[in-house]
Amino acid sequence: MDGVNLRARASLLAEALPLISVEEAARTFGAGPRAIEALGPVSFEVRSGEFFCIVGPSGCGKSTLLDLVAGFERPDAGRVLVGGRPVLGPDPRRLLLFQEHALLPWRSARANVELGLELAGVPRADRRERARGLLHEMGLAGFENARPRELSGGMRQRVSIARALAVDPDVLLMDEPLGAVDALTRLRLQDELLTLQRRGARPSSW
Amino acid sequence: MSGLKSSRSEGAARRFLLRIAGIALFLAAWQAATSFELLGPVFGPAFGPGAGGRALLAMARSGVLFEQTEASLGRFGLGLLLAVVIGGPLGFIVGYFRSLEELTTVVFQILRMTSPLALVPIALIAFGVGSRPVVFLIAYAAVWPVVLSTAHGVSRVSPAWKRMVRGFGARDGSVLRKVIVPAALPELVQGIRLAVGVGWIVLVPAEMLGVDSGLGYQILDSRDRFAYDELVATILVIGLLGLALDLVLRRLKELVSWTA
Ligand SMILES: Nc1ncnc2c1ncn2[C@@H]1O[C@H](COP(=O)(O)OP(=O)(O)OP(=O)(O)O)[C@@H](O)[C@H]1O
Ligand SMILES: [Mg+2]
Repeated sequence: MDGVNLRARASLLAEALPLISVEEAARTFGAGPRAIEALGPVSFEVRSGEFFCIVGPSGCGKSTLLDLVAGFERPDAGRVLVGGRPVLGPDPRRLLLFQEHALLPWRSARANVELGLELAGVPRADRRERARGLLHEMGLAGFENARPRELSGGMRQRVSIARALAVDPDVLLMDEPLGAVDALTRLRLQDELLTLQRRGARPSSW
Repeated sequence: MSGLKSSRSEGAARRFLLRIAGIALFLAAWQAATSFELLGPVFGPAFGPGAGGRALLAMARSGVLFEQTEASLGRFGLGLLLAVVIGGPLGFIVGYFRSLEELTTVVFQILRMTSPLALVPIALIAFGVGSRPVVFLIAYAAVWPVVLSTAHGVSRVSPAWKRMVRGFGARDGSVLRKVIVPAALPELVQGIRLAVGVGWIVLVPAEMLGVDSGLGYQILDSRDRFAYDELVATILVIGLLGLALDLVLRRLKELVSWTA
């Protein structure tokens, strides 16, 4: 039983394990006769590199499920594991892109993209460089200093995507982040997201 | 585009002219009322803007004007500073904890609506005669708008923003620094603007309580000397300084505002 061997086996196991596993997870809001079962027991697994879609009618619990995986909510029953460990709270390694962009209106596009990097303690010059590169990649070169209110709906969503990509998450959870933009913009942004995904789970390798 | 621009600057010029005209009309009506003693023989030309303006120049030349203004601005600034230093953080705390807001709201509303002048005897007992009770009364008047406006701003911060920064790994301290403080800053400044208004109004009567300097004192002193032109001059100074203070705060508010 030497340490090297153990570590090698652990990493082999990690590769075989699913990145996300949801096991009979359920969430009910409220109690008694007025309780709302937002999410019935559900199970699935997602492996690293996979693009996994959850489809269902409005109100069926999609956002609730994503909240569980992102760590904003805890399941009442069952388990939610990411990287083999139970989810205890939010973590920048599994980021949730919201239905609404939630950009900070007092910050420029660049400063919005820098937010996660600030919280991670990345030095200012590096932050700036990285934010500029990502905005460029998202087709927002020249809009670094624009405030969110000066941007179109689709551009705002691209800023919020850039903000998420900036921290290089292992898992990007998307709760219909394109729900509020028009059909054409949505198609284009979906293409952009697929391209980013195909370039690997680490779009930061530019 | 250029048409739009020129019509906009035309609008600005028009607004400016209308404002100047408003001032001119007011001065003319005032001068007429005193020259023709329309408000009775007591209010003769000595109470008019002409006499007041001349007295203002004389007071400026003798230095009295600046001495009294300096004394008043010193007390006002100190009272306002106390109000902001105490009211700002208090507003953040009250706005942040919902139950604290409920706990304090009725009491704060009552205290806010209690005229500081009702507290004069208490202020004199507590602080003695001099500048200190004056500063206290200004701070008392000014602290409530700061507290209430800031608390309101903090309680209205979008939960979506807080959730978003938590998603990026922010703890309470970072949520405060990155979201709550910048989001509530415009309402803090709005509170300070209201505080300047009410504090400036309280300053004058507060300076009528046993201090021997300041614009409030100057009002009583000119009355006692029957120097009605100086009385008018002092009233003018109080109004103009109040206007200037409000303009500064309005500018500051525009600087920190992130809406519209
Ligand atoms: N915090 C909450 N308190 C009470 N009920 C809730 C809460 N959050 C969600 N629900 C309920 O849970 C159910 C599922 O909501 P959820 O937001 O997960 O739906 P969704 O599938 O994301 O819908 P949509 O496609 O419209 O976004 C709904 O009936 C909703 O009313
Ligand atoms: Mg939803």
